[in-house]
Amino acid sequence: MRLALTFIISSLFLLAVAVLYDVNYINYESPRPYAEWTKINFYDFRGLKKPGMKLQGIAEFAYIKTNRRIDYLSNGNVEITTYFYRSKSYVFAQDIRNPDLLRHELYHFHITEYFSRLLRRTIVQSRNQITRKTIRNLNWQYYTLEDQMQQQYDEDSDHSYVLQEQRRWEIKVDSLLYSLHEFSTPVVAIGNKEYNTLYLKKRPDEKILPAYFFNHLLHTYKLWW
Amino acid sequence: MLTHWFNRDKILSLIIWSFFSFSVMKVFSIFFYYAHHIFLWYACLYSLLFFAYYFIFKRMFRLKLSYIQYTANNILFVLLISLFSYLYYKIILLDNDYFAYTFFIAMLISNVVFGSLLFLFTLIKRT
Repeated sequence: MRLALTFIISSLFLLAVAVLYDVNYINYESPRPYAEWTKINFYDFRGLKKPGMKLQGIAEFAYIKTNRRIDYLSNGNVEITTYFYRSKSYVFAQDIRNPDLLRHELYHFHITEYFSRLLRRTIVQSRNQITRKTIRNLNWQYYTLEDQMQQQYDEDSDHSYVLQEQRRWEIKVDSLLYSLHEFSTPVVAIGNKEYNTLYLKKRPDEKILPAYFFNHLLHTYKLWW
Repeated sequence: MLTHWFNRDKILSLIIWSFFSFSVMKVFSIFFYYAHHIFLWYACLYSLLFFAYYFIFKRMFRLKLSYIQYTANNILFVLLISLFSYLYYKIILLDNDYFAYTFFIAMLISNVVFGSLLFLFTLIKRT
């Protein structure tokens, strides 16, 4: 009995150590929703990097953990929110001040949001015959597509080291996000009056358009300069 | 006969050992993170851990396992590991971290094969 208890306590202790590297519960902060993406900085990367971990031989890297959560609201609507998990994301050193690396990581977050918007759009388009199972299946399909895109982004930009490719991806992702701007609200109203007020509205104000592309121009200009 | 081989204490000892093996492997994956997706690595290490259980079992219950009993315990061990992994995935990880069912099926097959080889070595030693 005593031996069994020793094994159980040792197992729990070992598991507590292992969990720490998946979720830093000692320095825990709740996930940030996509609406707060502008507030993200490297101090938000609170996760623990595994000892000796390298990325293609390079130790200077960051990792961002993003995901989307689907909540079924009591009024029949669906809420799809993209989150950045602070206690699961990490950076090789907390005192890092590399804006390019942060920018690269943020675009991973934008890619996740793009697929959340795609999911919202698909739900809205097939709102008459949508079920929870359909939403779940769609979500898995988008996870697969998102993974491919995230990997391609990392490969092309070499984790932010190839600046030209990085800028190309930024333009691409921003354009994709803009094309689905009308689905940027997390709540998806399915088949009720709210739907008309939320989703059948016109495209966003034209003033938003230059704001998006001005950002690109600035960075492209900076690159050429 | 079945109750003789699978009584409460024996099942409990297997569950505890499986949980301990799972925890050891989780810690192992922190330091050898690159081996995380190499199922053969995992299968070999789990087989060795189960093999260690075989000796603990012998010492605790003063019983030898026949090949059938050994394999049945081995399968149960992998099933328990899969169950703990699934619970870990559900509680700690996120849905886009994926739970690879095929990984555990492949691990079950290789664990039985590798475990059988290890069991064979004990027979050679005895003769």
